[in-house]
Formats: sequence, C-alpha cells, structure tokens
Amino acid sequence: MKANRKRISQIVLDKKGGDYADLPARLGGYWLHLSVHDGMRIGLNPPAGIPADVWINAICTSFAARAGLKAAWTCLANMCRWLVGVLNPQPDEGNLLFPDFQLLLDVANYGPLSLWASKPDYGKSLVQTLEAITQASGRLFCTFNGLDFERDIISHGKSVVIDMANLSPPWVRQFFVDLILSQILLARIHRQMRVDGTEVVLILDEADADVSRQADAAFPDGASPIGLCLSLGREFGLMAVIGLRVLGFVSRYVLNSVQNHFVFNLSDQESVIEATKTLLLPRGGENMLPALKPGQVLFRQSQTGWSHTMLGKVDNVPSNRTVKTTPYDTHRYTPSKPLTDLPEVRKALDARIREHKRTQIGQVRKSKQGLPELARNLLDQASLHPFFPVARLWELIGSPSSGGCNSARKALESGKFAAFEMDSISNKKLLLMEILSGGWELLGKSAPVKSGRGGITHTHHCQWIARVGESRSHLVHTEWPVPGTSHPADVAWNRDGSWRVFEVIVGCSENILSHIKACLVESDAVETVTIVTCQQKIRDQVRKNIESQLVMSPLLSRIHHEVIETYMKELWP
Amino acid sequence: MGQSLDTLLDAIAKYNLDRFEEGEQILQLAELGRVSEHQARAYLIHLEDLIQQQIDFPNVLHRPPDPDELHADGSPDILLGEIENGTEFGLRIVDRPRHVLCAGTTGSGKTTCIRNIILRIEELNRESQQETNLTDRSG
Repeated sequence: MKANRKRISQIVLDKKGGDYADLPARLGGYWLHLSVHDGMRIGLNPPAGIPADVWINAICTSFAARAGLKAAWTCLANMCRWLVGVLNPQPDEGNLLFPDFQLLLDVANYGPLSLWASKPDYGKSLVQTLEAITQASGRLFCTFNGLDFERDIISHGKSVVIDMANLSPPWVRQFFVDLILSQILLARIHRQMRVDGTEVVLILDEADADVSRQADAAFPDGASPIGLCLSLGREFGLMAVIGLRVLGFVSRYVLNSVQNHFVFNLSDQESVIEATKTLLLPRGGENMLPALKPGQVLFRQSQTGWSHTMLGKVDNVPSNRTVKTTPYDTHRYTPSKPLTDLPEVRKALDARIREHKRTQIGQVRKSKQGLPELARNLLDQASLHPFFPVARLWELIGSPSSGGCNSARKALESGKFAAFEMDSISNKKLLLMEILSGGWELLGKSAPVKSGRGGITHTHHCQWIARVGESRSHLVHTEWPVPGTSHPADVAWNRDGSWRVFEVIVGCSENILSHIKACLVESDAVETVTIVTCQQKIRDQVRKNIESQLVMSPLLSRIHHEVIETYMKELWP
Repeated sequence: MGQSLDTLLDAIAKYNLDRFEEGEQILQLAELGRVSEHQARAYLIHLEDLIQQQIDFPNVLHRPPDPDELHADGSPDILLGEIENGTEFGLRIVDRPRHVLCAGTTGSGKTTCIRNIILRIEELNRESQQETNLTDRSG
C-alpha cells in the first residue's frame, strides 16, 4: 500500500449520541468530539472560496426544502444578501460575517415584511419558521462565522464525532446535516478540488429520514445535499457511509449511487423487496434476509472483481457502553449579536425602510393612472354607499360581467386602493369591501375616521346594526363605552332612556362572557345584550355555552340571540 | 447401506454440503466405504448447524469466491469480516471513494459494521503516518 500522506478525515454524525461517543477518547489526538447542545457553533457563513451569493442560494434552497417553505425562500435570500453587505463593509473573503437566525428574525420583525417579500404571506411564513428554528436550536447557530469543516478539521487531517442526539424537530436536524454536507461538497466543487483518493468519509447512521424519497422530492432538482454528495462527491474525494433501518423508502437516487451494499437482518416486507432488488438476489434469496443472525450480512460490491452477492459475517467490534465523562471539544467562532447591539445595522435598516416607503408611495401614484374604469366606478360607489355589500354596489353600477368584477377587484387590491373580505352569512357567501387610504386619496376625498375594532366583516356587521337602529329612530352609538366599566360595546341603541347593547361575533367568541358581565353586572345602564352571529349554528352554540354557565342564570332573560341576516333583510329587503 | 448413512448422504446431496470442506471429505470417505452407521450418526449431528444454515439460507447464491477472485482488482484497504468460505472481505477506499450503504433492523450488526469501518480507517491513517515518518527519516 503506497504511503498516503494525507490522513482521511472522518465526519461522524451521531444521531443517538452514544453509538460513537467513545471513539474520540479512544482514538486520540486527531479526533474531536462536538455537541450541538454544548459548544458547537455552525453559522450560515460560506466556507472559504465560495462567493456569498452562490452560498446564499444553496442554503436558502435547503432551508426552504426542509422547513416546507415554497416562495418564502426568496425573502430569506433577500434578507441574507442585504445583511451580509451591511455586516461586511470591507469584505474579507475568508472571514465573512453572516447573519444568524436570531438576527434574521430581529430584522424581519423590525420593519414591514414588504421590505423583503412581494407578498406579506411569504414574510409571515418565514417569520414563523425563523422563530421555530431559533427556539429549537438553542445556541447552535448563534454565530456570525462558525465552524468551517474544510478549514478547521479536514485541512488538519482531523476527524470529528458530532453528537446531535435530541436535536429536534426533524427538519432542523436535517437542515443542520445539509449545512455540513453543503460546506464540504460545495467548497470542493467551487475550488475544483478533484482528487484521486478518498480524503473525507462522511458517516451518517440512522439516516432513514435524510435519504428517503420524500426528502429528495422536497428539493427543486430532486436531489438533497446527501444525494449530491453521493452522486458528485467521489471525484472530489468524498465517501459516504450510510446506515439505515429500513430500505423500503430510500431514494432511488441514493441506492443507485452506492457501490457497496451491506444488508443485515431485515424483516419488513418493503425492505425485503427492496433489498432483493438491490442485491440482485435470485428467487428464494429473499427468504435469507429475515434469517440473518446478528453480524451476518448479505452484500454486493459493484465495480470490483466479484459482483455477485455474498454471504459473510462482520468482525465483532464492542459497542460503546461507556458513560461520557470528558467534556466536549470547542472551536473558534465569532459570536453573533442581536439587532439591539448592532447600531450600524439598525441605522442601515431605518434608511432602507424610509426608502421603501418612498418607493411604495410612488408605486401607488403610478397605479392610479392604470386603474380600469370599472374599478374606479366600484370605488366611487363604495365611497357613496359605505358598508354596502359588493354585490349591491355592482347592482348600482349595472351588474357587469363576473370577469369584469374580478378584474376590477384585483386592480383595486393590487394597487392597495381597497381591501376585500368574504363573509359567510347563513349558507351564503358575501363579499365585503373597505376603501384604503390610497383609495380615498385617488377619490380626492378624506378618509373617514375608522370606528370599531375588528376586521372588515366585524365592522360591516356593526354598521348594519347601527343603521337599523337609526332607521327605527333610536339614538345609536358604535364602540359605546359602557358606563361604569372599561368595556366598549360594539353597538348601542338608546330607546326611551334605556340602553340595548349589541355584541357582534365573527370568529372568536371567547370573550363573550366577560362582555356580558361588564354590561349586565358591572354596569346598571344596560337593559339587554343582544349577541349577533353570522350563522344560526354559531348562534345556537353560543347560546348553549352561555346557558351552561351557572353565573349567567340570573341574566338569561336579558340576553338575546340574533343572526346578522335579520338586520340585513331590514336594510335590503 | 445403513439408514443413517443413507440419511447422511441424502442430506449432503439435498443441501449441497459438498461445497464445504467437511461435506466433501465425508462424501469421499463414504465413497471409499469408510463410514460406519455409528460414524454416520455422529457426522449428522456434527453437520446439524451447517444443515440448518442451508435451510435458512437456501443455496441460491453464486458460489463464494476464492481470495484471488474476490481481490482480482486489488486487496481491500480495510478488512471487515469473512465470507462463508473463510475469504476475508473489506473495502478499497485509498485509490478512490466507494460509498457504503448498511441496512438492517436494530441489533442486526449495522452499527457494528460502521464502527468497524471507522476503526479500520483510523488504523489505515496510522499505518500511513508511520510509513510517511519512515520515508521522511530515510530521506
């Protein structure tokens, strides 16, 4: 065997946290033992030699695939690119500072999401995911420049066991593995480090979830980082050793990229079928698989002198049964900082927010010029007949085609002139509309002061009840402060000196009992409370809930229940 | 021929035990008439494990290779175990990487195999380091 001057580095990812824990102490100086929960810090920074843009695309794709994000990865990539520029005013290629997830979350929460995302939903999904990973990963990713496997381990001929037991949820663990594999593989690809022999061995035991068909399908080109390592890694000196419990769900991509298949005892049907195909077992051979004793293996090695399946026995190596007593190793890294400790970043962010607002106003102005006539008419009618359902407004315009109605709605929404919400009343759907500040500006009118809390539907229902009261010549208030309390009632009618209060329930009815107590117990000004819901079944549920409360018994005669349809029919018979 | 000897010869034929050294030797002795009934019974007991193995593992695989056949492309850099005829098997990794997949239920030996691979690679590293040191010292 010729002298191999370069040591083969072994990167062992220990998911159970015990199978390989004895190896660093046993094998000595070239071995490190790191723990994801203690001392290890891996950042989003690229390994030396990879351009930031290329790296950002790679890790954002991986993050989105693992976290189940679709379009939101562009939002993450935008934030990363911007922050990298701000954190590195004078970039040092080998030591670029990259934001960690906490900083990304701080930035996402600091300004409007429209700074980074074309649709608010993209930003919201990303924020939720960032919250999840910052909570789940502890301090693991809290670094602006963390462990670089090539720089800190492989180039020194070292090996490492990474204890990643109990790193959950599974997608965080998978992203962590992707980050490591991407660091090693992409650095070699980018630097064109083609070698003849093996330089790095990646060992992933219990890798079932990482190499499944589902895992591959989550990635745009159908190949996860581990799939890429298996297919591309050989010419760059990367070898993978993968341990699986079940063969039935493994990606074809993975199975076809492996040269040595070692199959131990398998008993589930899918695994036996897959193993039979993989090992090219003749008929009857599948019966051997469940009969294999511990240590016995059926294996096939392609691209060797003998490509037939063989039956063998692996040498016994004692398992690790020691309790860990030595501390985990550490490594150099640049600690991360929250946004509050980065005044330069905040200053840059404030400037960006100002610029963004200027751009938005400019876009609104530009949109006005292109607004279709039908949309303009709808806006006019809505301003003249506030709180009318959109269907009523279309009737006033002349009942245009549904295509025209939809286009008009989209134009108003995209130009941020109006917002729409679908209401569900009895068994009917009703579209409701609210003119936004941009719409009032276009109309050349000043926006009325918004009264009432809640969304479009809640506001409309309150206004309908108020109008019915006015039509019956009652004195009407909305957001009426109930005397003697700090509670505002949605709508109040005054008739002959006594107050009738209305509480509108659209979605949430959790606070209704406290509303009733405020009106009927804490205050002596209110005669009755009427609870108004969208649908009869909700009305009945709420009634049942109230009647089941013992404290409500003396008040039941003063509590009425109605559906909003009652008031709608009075306004629009 | 006695009943036990019949049974013995049937078993050797049925389970192809002549592939194994023991089976071949017993067959040769039987052909020379040197196996008594008593010896036949003893051989049957002796071959029980081998017979059970053939029941569990029907003879559907290709015959196990000799060392020269298995290592035709070069000896393995790391040894992992033996195949059924005693030939050692392992992995060649120094000249180029060859990925490995180990599949098996809990307790089947999968992790033992992987630990084996790790330890053997580390032995390889140390041998290589020693060879390098020797080369350096001798100039």
